[in-house]
Amino acid sequence: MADLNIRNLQKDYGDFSAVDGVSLTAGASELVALLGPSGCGKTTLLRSIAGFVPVTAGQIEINGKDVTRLAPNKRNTGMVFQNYALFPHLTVEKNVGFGLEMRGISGAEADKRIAEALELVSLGAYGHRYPKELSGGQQQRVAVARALVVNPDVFLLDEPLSNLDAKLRQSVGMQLRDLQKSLGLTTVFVTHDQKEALMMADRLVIMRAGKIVQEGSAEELYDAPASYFVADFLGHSNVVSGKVTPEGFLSTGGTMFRCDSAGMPADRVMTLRPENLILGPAAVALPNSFEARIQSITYLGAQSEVTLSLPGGDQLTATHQNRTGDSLTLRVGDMISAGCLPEAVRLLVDDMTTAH
Amino acid sequence: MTVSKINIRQIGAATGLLSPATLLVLGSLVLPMLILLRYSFNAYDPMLLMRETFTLENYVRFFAEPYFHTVILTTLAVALGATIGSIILGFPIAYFLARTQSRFKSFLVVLVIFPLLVGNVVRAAGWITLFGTRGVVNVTLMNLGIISQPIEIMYTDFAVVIGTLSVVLPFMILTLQGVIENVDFSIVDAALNLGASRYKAFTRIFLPMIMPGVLAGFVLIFILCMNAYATPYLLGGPGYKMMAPTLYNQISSVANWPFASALAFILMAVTVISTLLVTRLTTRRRR
Repeated sequence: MADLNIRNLQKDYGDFSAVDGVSLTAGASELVALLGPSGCGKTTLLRSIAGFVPVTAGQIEINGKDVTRLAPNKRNTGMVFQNYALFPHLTVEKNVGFGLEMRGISGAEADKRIAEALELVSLGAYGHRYPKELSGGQQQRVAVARALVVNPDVFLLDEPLSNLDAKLRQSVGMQLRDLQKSLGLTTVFVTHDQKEALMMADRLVIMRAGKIVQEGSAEELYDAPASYFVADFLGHSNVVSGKVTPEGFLSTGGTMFRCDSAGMPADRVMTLRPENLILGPAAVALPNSFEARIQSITYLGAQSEVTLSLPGGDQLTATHQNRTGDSLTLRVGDMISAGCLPEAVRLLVDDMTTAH
Repeated sequence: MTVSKINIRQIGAATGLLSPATLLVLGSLVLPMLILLRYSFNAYDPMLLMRETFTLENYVRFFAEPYFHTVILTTLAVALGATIGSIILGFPIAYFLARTQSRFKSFLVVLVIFPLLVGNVVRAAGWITLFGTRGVVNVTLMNLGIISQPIEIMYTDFAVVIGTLSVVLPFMILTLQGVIENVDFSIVDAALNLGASRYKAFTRIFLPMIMPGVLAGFVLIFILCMNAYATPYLLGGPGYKMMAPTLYNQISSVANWPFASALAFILMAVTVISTLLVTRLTTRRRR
């Protein structure tokens, strides 16, 4: 397995830059997720790695070899397409064997590798079926086997779980990840679903408008988002407008949120994850503590989403863990203590309200 | 009780809605065909024209006279030539139309359909002015000194095949365009990704995928060609040996309805059999 090295990649369609100066690396057996809203350029980036998109400028190296101008069939990437793109007129075996045949591998050697690949995705008994005779999940596994049988240098996945139903998504995602790790595949995968990315990726690359906004591990991005966009895109965040003061952040509603604001420019917004907003008596002793009215409660089973209205008019949502025997009773209209640690308060660049 | 009431009402509504079409088909297609079928077993009589009987002599005559072998073979050859020619000429245009992102796409499609707005006869008349002994092509070639005698283009097999091909080409292009537009091109991308050259991706993946659609186009156009009347008549001459003109000759010049009827059923049978044969041959390994 190899490394992928992308430098200053640019793809323009007229005045519009689908990929705008992106540099990215993926090391051996690393799983990198490209994550972003639709139209952010993640799919264009993936397709240019596979060679389907002729790039405007920049360089793509696989295993130290420049493949930027190479035709797709000369790149030795293995791609799983969003709709699987199985050959409808060929059996599962022939689908999986196609890449081998194109490499001039036939006979017993091909049969052995096809059988191994199908075994890898637990479809050993399905070789003689046609794609339309398989379920969506099985088709997806055929697509994976077909891409892997040729020992690709880079494994590319385009929204691999999006056509599966919600129950399957988690288990198939974990199976894919186990496979990727056990084979040591350098993998790039595109998704718009943050859960998929958080669950599977070693490293997340968040894209927006053709550019990389932030990259890092799931924990890094979730706990230390670089901007409001990232904080909002990964999970949920309360956002409060106001101004930075030496003590912390003073909301427009007049609530003071103490936090480390040293050296912060004044034009930041404050974000606070709902799970970091603590409710009830435990909140009273926290450095940031206030009384608020419960405006609404949305019961979600394990948790409840509680929307609070602060005296100055600010609204905050808290995620409250529901436990049997919990003495804390929540009722709409009641006053309740709420609070958070200074470390939970994040002052971030506001890249959402500024024009993009 | 209520269920059966609804069912009766639904059946009533369905009958009401389906009857006009059914009556039309029965009255205008099935009934005349049954009459023709009966005619084909009647005998021709120079005095009476048609004598009620039950004989196979019309069918026997067709298979006995070599003239009619030429007619059916010419018909098959022209139809095959025009159909295959229209696939070869139509495919690149259909592919372009299906794949283009041009904003002029609908205009281009209209251009393809445009010849259909001009009737067969008008178009054939146009070909005559082009290809006649004193037509544009001959006059130009002679004035340029390339030929000294006009070449015979009119009333040749070539003229009939080209003429028929030009009539059916728009249908073929539209059929193929529909077929290609339905292709998921990520499947072709997958072939390239797996190491196939553009040529291999085309022959091994794309062509087999569109084959059923191409076959449908083939059958449709082949049937049109087999039954072509105006174009062979005008470009091949009144005595051109294709089935439809020959059949109509039997009615219009000799008033031999029984034999004409037999010709009609033979033409239909040959069309159906050759269509089935082609379908069978090209789909033998498909499921």
